[in-house]
Amino acid sequence: MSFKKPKILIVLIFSAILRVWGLGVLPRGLSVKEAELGLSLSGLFGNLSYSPFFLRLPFFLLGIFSIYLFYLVIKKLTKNVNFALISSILLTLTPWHFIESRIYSPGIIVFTLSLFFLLLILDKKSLVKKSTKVVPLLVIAVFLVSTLFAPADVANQVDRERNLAVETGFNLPIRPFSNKLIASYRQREALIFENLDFGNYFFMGHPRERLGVEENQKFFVSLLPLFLVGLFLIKKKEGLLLLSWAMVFIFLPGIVGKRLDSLAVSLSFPFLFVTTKGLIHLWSKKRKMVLYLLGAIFLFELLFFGESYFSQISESRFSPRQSYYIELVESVREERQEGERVLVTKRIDSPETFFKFYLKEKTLENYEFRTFDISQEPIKDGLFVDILPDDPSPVEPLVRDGEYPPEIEVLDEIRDDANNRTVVLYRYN
Amino acid sequence: MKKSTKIFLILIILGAIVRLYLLGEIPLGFFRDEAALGYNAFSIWETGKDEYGVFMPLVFRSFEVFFLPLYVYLSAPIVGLLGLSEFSTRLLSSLSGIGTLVIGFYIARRIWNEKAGLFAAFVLAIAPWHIFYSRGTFEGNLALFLFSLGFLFWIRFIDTKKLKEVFLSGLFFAFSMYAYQAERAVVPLFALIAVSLSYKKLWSQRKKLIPIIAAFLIVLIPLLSLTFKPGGYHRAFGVSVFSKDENPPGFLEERGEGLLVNNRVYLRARQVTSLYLSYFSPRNLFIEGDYDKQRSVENYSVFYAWMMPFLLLGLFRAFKKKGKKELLLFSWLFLGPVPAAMTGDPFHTYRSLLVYLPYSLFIGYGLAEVYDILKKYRKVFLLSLGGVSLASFVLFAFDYAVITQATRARAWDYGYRQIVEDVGDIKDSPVVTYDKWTEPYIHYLFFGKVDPEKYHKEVYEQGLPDDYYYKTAEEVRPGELENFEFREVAWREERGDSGTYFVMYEEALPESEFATDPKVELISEVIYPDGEVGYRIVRIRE
Repeated sequence: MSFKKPKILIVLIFSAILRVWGLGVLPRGLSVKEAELGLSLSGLFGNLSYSPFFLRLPFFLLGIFSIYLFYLVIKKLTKNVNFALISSILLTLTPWHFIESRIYSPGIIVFTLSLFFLLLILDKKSLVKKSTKVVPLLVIAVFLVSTLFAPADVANQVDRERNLAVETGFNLPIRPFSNKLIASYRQREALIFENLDFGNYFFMGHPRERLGVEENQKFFVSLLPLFLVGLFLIKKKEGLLLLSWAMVFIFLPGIVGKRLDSLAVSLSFPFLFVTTKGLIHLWSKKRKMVLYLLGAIFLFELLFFGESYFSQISESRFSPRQSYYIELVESVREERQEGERVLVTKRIDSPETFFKFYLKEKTLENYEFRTFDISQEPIKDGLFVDILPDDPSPVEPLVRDGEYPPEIEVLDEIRDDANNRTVVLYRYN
Repeated sequence: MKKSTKIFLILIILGAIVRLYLLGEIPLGFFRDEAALGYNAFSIWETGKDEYGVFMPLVFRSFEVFFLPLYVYLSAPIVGLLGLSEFSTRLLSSLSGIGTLVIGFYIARRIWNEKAGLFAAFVLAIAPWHIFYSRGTFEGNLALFLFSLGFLFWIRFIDTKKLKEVFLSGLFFAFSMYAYQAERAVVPLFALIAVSLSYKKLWSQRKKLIPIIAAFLIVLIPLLSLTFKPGGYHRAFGVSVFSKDENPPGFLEERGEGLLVNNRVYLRARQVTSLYLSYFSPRNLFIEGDYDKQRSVENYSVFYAWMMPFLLLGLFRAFKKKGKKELLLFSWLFLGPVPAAMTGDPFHTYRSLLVYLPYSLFIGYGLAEVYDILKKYRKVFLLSLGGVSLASFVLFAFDYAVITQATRARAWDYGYRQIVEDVGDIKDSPVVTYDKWTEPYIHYLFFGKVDPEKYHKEVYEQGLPDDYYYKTAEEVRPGELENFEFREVAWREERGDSGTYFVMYEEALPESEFATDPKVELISEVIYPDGEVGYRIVRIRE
């Protein structure tokens, strides 16, 4: 990189500032994967591995590096520095890439590695030419072969259908119509099409949000018209390359048989490439009013996203990050007497992992993690951590008429808004 | 006979068989809207009045849905001649679907070529969306047929410049506005675009246009007169996102309104945009389907997933051509989802029914283009297409006719035929029906083939205010019909009413509520096709 042309350096510094701001603090709370990562690294890095900032730092660094690789790839493809710069700026400001650069993200790892690999082979023109012709067909072939391997839950679905057919009096052989192969194909096909949904990419909280799946803002909708314009400007060679890339990441969940939403951040490459094409085309055709309008909307969306993100209100309701553990573990630490037994319900998410992480102990003395029925629990000594409104016992509900039973002393209540429940810390009197 | 004509006829005949076979039996169940349209058609035929006794109404009020009238009026002679039944009620929609197959062929042929026409007819013949909506009582399907006729005559005008085509086009567009609500929004917008694109041709014959325009206005006057009455706008306003009091999605109650976060204008615009774009989302078009169980088939959406690449190719090629007819078809495509996008329901296939015909035509065009490109491999292509289509169709037919009938029976108000058979002849005891999931009274009217004159008297006796019919959207339902009552049941208090029959859905009357009570006699149960109990009929012993 030449110091005579610092423009990409400016973009990278800007990206770094955006992504490092509040790193470790925002988004609040850790996912179980992050906590597990911290625990596994504690042997190497000691207490440092219990720092959310430290845990997220590698993904931040990869995020910045991926922007640089993205720039190099596009510069090589188009032989146009300005095109590459514009694309890189768009990637910097893409919510999806921004979010994935600030959390534990297999997607950022794969994106970075994929760009690196692409950069290495771009010089080998014949290899690229052959690959782009073969890859789409190969992806489809691999997908079709993968349908022979039915995912685990398919058997239940097939049984259900066959039972229904019998109930309705269907008197032809059922197997040709309902079998694991068909069910496997459909399930995998559905996983592929989850990556082909406008709502998933442009509208956080859209009406067909997938239940239990973390969906965040990925791209700004103001870029969509530019993308559509750009589609008609793609040259054949570029198109084949982008298509091959896109097909790999779109089909991958169907091939593997499970959701891989984080990995799909790699789709930023074809999307932003085509969008930049559209942007430059409109600029060259002097459609400035259109660009100003889209620019104004883009700016608004950017500010909206920024305020939502940094105010912590953009988190998906299915976010894997359990921020309530920060308060909960602190509260347990304060209330627990020396050597006291702590019984933590397993109805909260992965409690053992999070307690170990926040207490910075790989082994916890006198902690139990299990589901329990408080009326049946023989030993009432100790500190209990449980959730509401689920009553631990149908015989002796924890809360009656809005009041706690007199036999317990409630020490703290920690609200878990994401799951709409309260975690209660208490002892028996 | 030309080969293409033979293929066309085969497609139409196959399409007709798929749409007519067991029409009265599948779908199982008979949705309340179907019963309402059927019974009102029966009432019109017998008396010239609707279920409320209103003579030749402009809309059909039925439980405040305010159906537009054309389906009922056109169905009246069918129901009158064939008798009131599920088959006769659904027949017009089915025939409209078959008609749309034919028109789809002619549209694609006129825009592109005969091959595209045949492939378009093929797509329509097997498309899940079209089979589904041609096998139920859907006024939207009639509206789609009329709209497509209007479109066909318009593109004929583009080629022939004959004003006769303009007249016919306008007439069918106007009729479509009398068939379903969505067309009331789309037709004027489409007409604006169509007229703009053919402005010069029309202007050159402007004097001859005057009587044609006058004829349109005369046809539309009744509809226009309704627009500003609750009877005319209640349905549209009732479901619109703009008329609801609730905040747009993403609005945080605990924060005040803001310039960025909690900006209502932005959030509402985002909501409408996301709803609009959902009708172009491959996931919805090929996999997810309608959010409502009553309007969806298990495991299927609007099109088969293998059609997607052909759709993309057809769209791409058509866009590249940039012909006037292609532009009109694109206008149809982009306007089709507008009414549905204004309501809060995600991916409502019925309200957006208009959009699926241009999609089907583009898929047909894509297939034709591939056929043209593959010069040496055409036979292989056709054999593969045939194999994939056959497999897809057979699996769809299984899921539609077997699985969906088992899982969606409740959504289709299954059970009332049996209920009315079981209790319809009871004259000397009260029969109380409680069903919060549907409008039981309309099912009793339909399956009981109640004499409309008798029913009109019941309605008059309710003492309704003058002029209520178009002017109020307040609930007007019969509480009773002779010894039949339709209301909520307070079972704990009413279980002692000797001699009374109760008809209730299973959740309202679980077995535990009466199994050990000697005073309660179980008369019959309605069992859904999946084996679950749907309704119970009990009698309180004297």
